Amino acid sequence: MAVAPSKILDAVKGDRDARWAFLIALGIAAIVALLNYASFLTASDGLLLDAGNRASEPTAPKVVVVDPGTQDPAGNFELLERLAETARNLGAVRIGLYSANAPGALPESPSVPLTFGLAELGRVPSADDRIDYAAARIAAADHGISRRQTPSFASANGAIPSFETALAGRLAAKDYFVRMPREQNIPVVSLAQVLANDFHADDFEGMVMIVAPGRDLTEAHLSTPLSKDGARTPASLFSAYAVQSLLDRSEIYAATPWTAFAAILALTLAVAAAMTAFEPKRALAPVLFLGVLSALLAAYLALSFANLLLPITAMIVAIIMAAVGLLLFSEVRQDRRLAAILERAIAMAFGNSPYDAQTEPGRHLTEAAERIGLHHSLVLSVPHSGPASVLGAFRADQDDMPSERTLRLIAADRKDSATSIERPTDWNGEVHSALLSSDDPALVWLYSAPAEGKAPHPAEHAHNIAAAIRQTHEWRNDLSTGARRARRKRPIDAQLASAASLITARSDRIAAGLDGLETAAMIFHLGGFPVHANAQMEALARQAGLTPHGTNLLKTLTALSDFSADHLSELLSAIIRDGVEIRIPAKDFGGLQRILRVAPMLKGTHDIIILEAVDITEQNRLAQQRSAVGNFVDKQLRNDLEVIELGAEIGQASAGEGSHVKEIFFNLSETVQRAIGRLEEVADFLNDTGTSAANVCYPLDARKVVDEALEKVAPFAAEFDVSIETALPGISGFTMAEPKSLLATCEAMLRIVIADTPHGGRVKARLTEELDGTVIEVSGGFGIPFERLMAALDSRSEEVPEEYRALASGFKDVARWQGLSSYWSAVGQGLRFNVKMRRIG
Amino acid sequence: MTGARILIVDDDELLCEMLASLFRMSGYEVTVAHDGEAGLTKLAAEGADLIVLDLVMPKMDGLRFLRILPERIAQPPRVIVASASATPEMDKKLGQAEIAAVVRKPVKPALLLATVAEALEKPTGG
Repeated sequence: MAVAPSKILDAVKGDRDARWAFLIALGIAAIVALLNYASFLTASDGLLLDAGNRASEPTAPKVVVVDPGTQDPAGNFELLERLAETARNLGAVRIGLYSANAPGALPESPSVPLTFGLAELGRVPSADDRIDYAAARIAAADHGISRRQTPSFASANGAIPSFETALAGRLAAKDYFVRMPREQNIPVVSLAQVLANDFHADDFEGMVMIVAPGRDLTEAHLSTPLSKDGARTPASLFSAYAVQSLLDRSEIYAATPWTAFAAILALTLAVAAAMTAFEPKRALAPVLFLGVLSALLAAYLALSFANLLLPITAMIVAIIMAAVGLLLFSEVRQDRRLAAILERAIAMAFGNSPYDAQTEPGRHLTEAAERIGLHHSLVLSVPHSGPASVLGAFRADQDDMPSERTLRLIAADRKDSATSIERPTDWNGEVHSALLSSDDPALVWLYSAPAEGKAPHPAEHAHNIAAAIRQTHEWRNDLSTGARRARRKRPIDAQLASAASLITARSDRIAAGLDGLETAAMIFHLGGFPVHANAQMEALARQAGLTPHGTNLLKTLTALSDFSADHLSELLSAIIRDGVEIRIPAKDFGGLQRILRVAPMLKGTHDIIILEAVDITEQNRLAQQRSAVGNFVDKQLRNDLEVIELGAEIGQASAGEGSHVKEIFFNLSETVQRAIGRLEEVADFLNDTGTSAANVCYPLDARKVVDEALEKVAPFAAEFDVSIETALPGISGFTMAEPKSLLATCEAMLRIVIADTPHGGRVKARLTEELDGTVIEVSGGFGIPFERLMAALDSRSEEVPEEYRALASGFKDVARWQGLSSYWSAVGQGLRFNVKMRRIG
Repeated sequence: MTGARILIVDDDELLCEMLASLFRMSGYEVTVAHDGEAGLTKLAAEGADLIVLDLVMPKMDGLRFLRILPERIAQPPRVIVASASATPEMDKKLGQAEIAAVVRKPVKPALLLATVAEALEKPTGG
């Protein structure tokens, strides 16, 4: 918890909260110091003082208490003289005696100086400088405990030194606390022992002898730190401790108000520093513990070594107040900050959004009712007072409104069940009601749905819609500007929870929407780290071997494209610098072709970069189809026109040769008919473009497709050490198929047969073009039972190898192209696949 | 060299008829086959002095026909390739075959007749 002072100063200079924290600490210190000064907090100080006091180290006794027994030396001249003489012999330096008044007869020049502690205050001049008079009075007890003594007492005749001050020969600066160590030895002897000279000559060397009050003076007994449970300390013994303290210069003084304030301030500032440097809630317990410990240690050290009583209670109170106060302050500030965030959250949740479906529930729900298949729907506004009105109706009108009483019950959320609502006369199905908002006016939805039907039932849809609207309404009401006063009464965290729920609900819907897009999209922060990816992009990223949550823009682009990281890095710098978007081709994943669009959206703190992987497979397919159709037109129609042209030229050249001309014109007519027929075929191709992509086929070069399939499986065949014997035409005509699907089919046939062929074996691939059809035949391998092959091709199970599933799918496509497919297999005789497609032109 | 026999091998029947008329008008004898296999059969059976060959055909395309021709016929006649597919790329494939000329469709009658006449006058390479 140690905090460098420079850091604290820096914090105070730069942080408004820190400045406030230190001002609070100062204020608390001042308040506590004043309370302490006004003795509100001193009661427990005494207890702590007593504990420390009792534990003090004892010193050699400098005072001895003499019990006079039944005698009274103060009032007996002879006895007093003998006592003084004996005391001198024993080494005592002063004798203190208690007396009601100044004694009348006193020895002249006593052997040791005598100090009379007088019960009656009154200035008594001393005739002899070896005889002194003082006030035998103990200062008033503090909360019942006598621990304090006064150096002198005021009287009508001026200040009279206290008995202890006079005996110690040292005037204390002010009221002091008597140090009373538990282990301190204060000898108590009887007067008889002293007078009998039972001691050695130097037994009382340098000591002050206090003679306890005689029989005629009733000695008071006090509660002191040594006898807190009862008044068992004789006043003379207390005086002896006081004299011992003064002689040892170990008397204790209470801290002055300014010292007390300084001590309290130091601690509160330290608390403020700690609470500012660390998170207040976490810092509270350690700060309290260490603060109190420090205060206790400081108080103990001050008591032990500086004879100073620090305001320990005030110090501890100040620590607690400062820590708790600063925590509260921090909480208030935090609440204010959260409130500011809340305002933004409100604005974000619905304030600034133009897409707020809550504004016209009547219209939305009426449209929804028709969409989800409800029989009837009535959206009603029900004010707390006044008639209800219809906001939207589907196959219903105002006459279908339930009774006023029913509406009030629904509006008060005391009836949500449909069963007891009176059924409008022309409504069918089950009637339901839902409270959408309990504001004023309340929003009520009455609807009827078919009693039975396949799931999801329209009533379920309606129930879910109503629940979502009501929940949203509740959140919005928590946050709406109109309810600002009510908001103040609600805890900030509850309001934040509503805002968070509203935002989360909106975010969930947006995320679900993004997931529904066909395009794979990912949003990156300008810094390159990912912000969001839709489900399609997550799937694509996984295909590319990326973990969507652990990737970054550069890494993602590198994995999805064939560009180098250096090149991409340059491209990214350019798009950020110039604010332009780029489009680069993506690698082929899952047989789909994509374009990667990288677009920066630079809007200050919300700078983002969007990465889209747009599937262009379909566009490519269409382009390919257009190209194929164009090629077909070029080759075939041109051919026909050329025949016509040839015929025309021959006709011109053979003018006059009647039979030839007739024949030629007949052929010309035939050719024109054929050209028209081909135009019809082209029209059919073009019409196919608009139908399901799965059924689309168009004239293509089958040899090219087979060549590509052979190229793709070549590494696989090499791996199995299988050679492929091909029989392909040198040049190919037009075969009706879809190239991607045909390629996948050929590849699947080849892979299945290769995988079934022993090492060193041979697979045959043949492409034959007939007049009306093109046949692709793949054969070879060891062969498997026909039933097994049939089962594998029929199965949809994931356990079946991918090639069989691809082939089964390809066979279906061939059928869609009006082609035929067949397969055959027998153990030991191999496998054979045949695909026959239409050939045209 | 009128009276020479020309074998037209093309899957386009109308074009075959048209070419046959053209050649007959010029005094040639003409036979027609609609694919490579049929062409080889007719050639073996009836013989010919010149073959006008299309490339894209079912069953046996023109390229295969050219490859097999010397294997089937001891002294094959000259071949004129007449095809819309007679591109430079195809020319490379044709380079190894024994052909007299390549005529790209559309076929100009005068050019075709001149090419035929020229081809018939050249001695065969055997």
